[in-house]
Amino acid sequence: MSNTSKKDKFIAHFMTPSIADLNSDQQSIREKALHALQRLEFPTLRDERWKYTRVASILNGQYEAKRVELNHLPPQAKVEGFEASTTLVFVNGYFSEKLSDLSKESGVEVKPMANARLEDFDQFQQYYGQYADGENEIFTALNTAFNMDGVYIHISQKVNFEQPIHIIHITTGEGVTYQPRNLFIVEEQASAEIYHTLVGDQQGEAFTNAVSEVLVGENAQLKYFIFQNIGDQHQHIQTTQVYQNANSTLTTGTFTFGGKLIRNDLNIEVDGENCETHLNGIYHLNGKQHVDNHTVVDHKKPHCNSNENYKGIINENATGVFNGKVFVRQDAQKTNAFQSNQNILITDNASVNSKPELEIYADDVKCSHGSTTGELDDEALFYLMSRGLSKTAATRLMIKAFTAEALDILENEAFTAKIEALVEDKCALF
Amino acid sequence: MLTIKNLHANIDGTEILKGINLEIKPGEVHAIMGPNGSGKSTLASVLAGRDDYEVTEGEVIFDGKELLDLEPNERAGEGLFLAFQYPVEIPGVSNVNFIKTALNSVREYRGEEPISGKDFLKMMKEKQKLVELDGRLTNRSLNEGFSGGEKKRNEIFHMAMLNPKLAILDETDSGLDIDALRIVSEGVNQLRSDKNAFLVITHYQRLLDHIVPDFVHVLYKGKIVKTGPKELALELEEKGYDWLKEDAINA
Repeated sequence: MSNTSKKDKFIAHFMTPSIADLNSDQQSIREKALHALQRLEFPTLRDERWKYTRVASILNGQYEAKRVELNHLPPQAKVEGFEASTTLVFVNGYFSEKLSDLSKESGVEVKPMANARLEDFDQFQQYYGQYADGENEIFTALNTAFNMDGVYIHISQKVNFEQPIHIIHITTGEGVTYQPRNLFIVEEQASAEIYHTLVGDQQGEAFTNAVSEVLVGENAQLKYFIFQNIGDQHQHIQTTQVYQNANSTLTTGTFTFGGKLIRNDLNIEVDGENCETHLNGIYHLNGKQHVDNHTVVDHKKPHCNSNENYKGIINENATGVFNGKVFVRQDAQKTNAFQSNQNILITDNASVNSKPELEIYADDVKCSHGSTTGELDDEALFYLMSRGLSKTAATRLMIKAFTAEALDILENEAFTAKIEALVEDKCALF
Repeated sequence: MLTIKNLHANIDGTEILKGINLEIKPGEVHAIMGPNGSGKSTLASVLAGRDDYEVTEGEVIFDGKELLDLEPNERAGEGLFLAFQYPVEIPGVSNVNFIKTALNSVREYRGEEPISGKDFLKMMKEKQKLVELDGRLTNRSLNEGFSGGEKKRNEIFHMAMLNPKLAILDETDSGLDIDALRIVSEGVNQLRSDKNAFLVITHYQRLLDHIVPDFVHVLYKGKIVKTGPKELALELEEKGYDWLKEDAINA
């Protein structure tokens, strides 16, 4: 079967169920995406952006939407001691009213997208589909054409919503697919803190394709942390498109533990002066896991700082990919951009492809980038052991120290403890 | 306490130690001197369990146990301590948390309860004073950004906290200015008792003015070629090693 007819067959998985009640504008965004899907090809290793990540096996899978009701949160979705003001839970992409707990603060709208499409019509219309590229990126087009539900967050001007929002996506069953679509709007001088947990059954093939559009308004602050611990047979593509206005701060972290194949595209357009952008990540992989983080920070205006720090620990036969691009456009004088990717390979079969890239068109900037890949330092291990630590304890301590820098941006103690515990659990496999 | 019998060790197939014999009793301080490449640091590494070395012959008995059968952390548990020539910088691991983890690991090995937070703090304050270690350094990442002298003082601080039966100081004096040398030596002297012992490896006699040894051994080409009282160190300082080399060849 040719790739094109494979693609058509694949796309057919998503034709049902369709989205009801789309108005004409939303319908037109969707139709453009459908149209783009006919034209766009599924990426192969010949595409530069997909050089190290083979998505062909996604095409061969059999998937369908499966609505499931759960009565309890699975243990892996729980974060001990974490207090969220609002919790939105989705099971196989469907909103679970039973497991969710929505806040009713004034100036804050946190709700399923399906509701927002109808209830917050004007705002929705203004922002939806404006940032993510549904016409040139096949996975974004796929999501734009077929997304069903997701999370809508709107923080009004000058509202400091200090209580964390927790979004939980649970995947359960065999051959499941869904495509969440999220829209986060933090208006001028407002602030928000969002935690996004992705978990699932250990077994069970699944394919999910998420798109988030994020607007950080002028002088606004957003913290957005993604925590990925999906099942061993789950393939997940995620595109996060952020637009930052002047004087805004974005702090984001992507922490990846479980999943068969994960591709994270994080694109940040810094389109105002005096912005701060912090993006960190940790990926701790084993088995045959494959995780690909592609990030873009596009500095368009002067006097902005960005700081990127991704750390990978790769065990057994797992593979990691890091591709971080920083653009400094001609107008973006006085930019400070720092980028680092460090990897530790635990076994001889583990591998990573790391490619930090800088493209600078301005002449008065401070930029640096670096990438290192190595093994655990034997001399340091011996030093720790000679003071009484067992090999396991010494290894854990070193891995914890290695990841600590990337975890720094996460100020929430409960989440930090959860991630530290996951890092430790994975160290037990060494 | 420690008996080394006919110890031979290789690194990458090259024999470095060629039959070392040494007996250390509680309360004693032994100094090992020798020219570069004589095997001084190799001996320290083999005793502490660095796995780059292959022991081909001989045995080491530490308090009745076959030392060479134990992992480095088990050796620490038995009461052996190595102060590193080049202490390792480990960013992200706080010095104080680490020493607490180390102390509790050693206690666990001996079947003791973990130390209480209160006792730990008290002990830390006391031992910090011993080597005039700034509180700032105990809270920083392990050895990260420490000066050479601070690293060596930190080693002695770790030693004081772990209170070993036998401490091996591997060129702890190298690169130290006279103040740091005095602080480190005084720290060691205050820890000396009739129950513990020290094996001081050094290149320079200067250290032995401060830490006065009971025995001085000269290591040359992987063997101890001469043993004498503390005055031997002075003689070596004066005459160098050449006269011993001739002796060794004639022997």
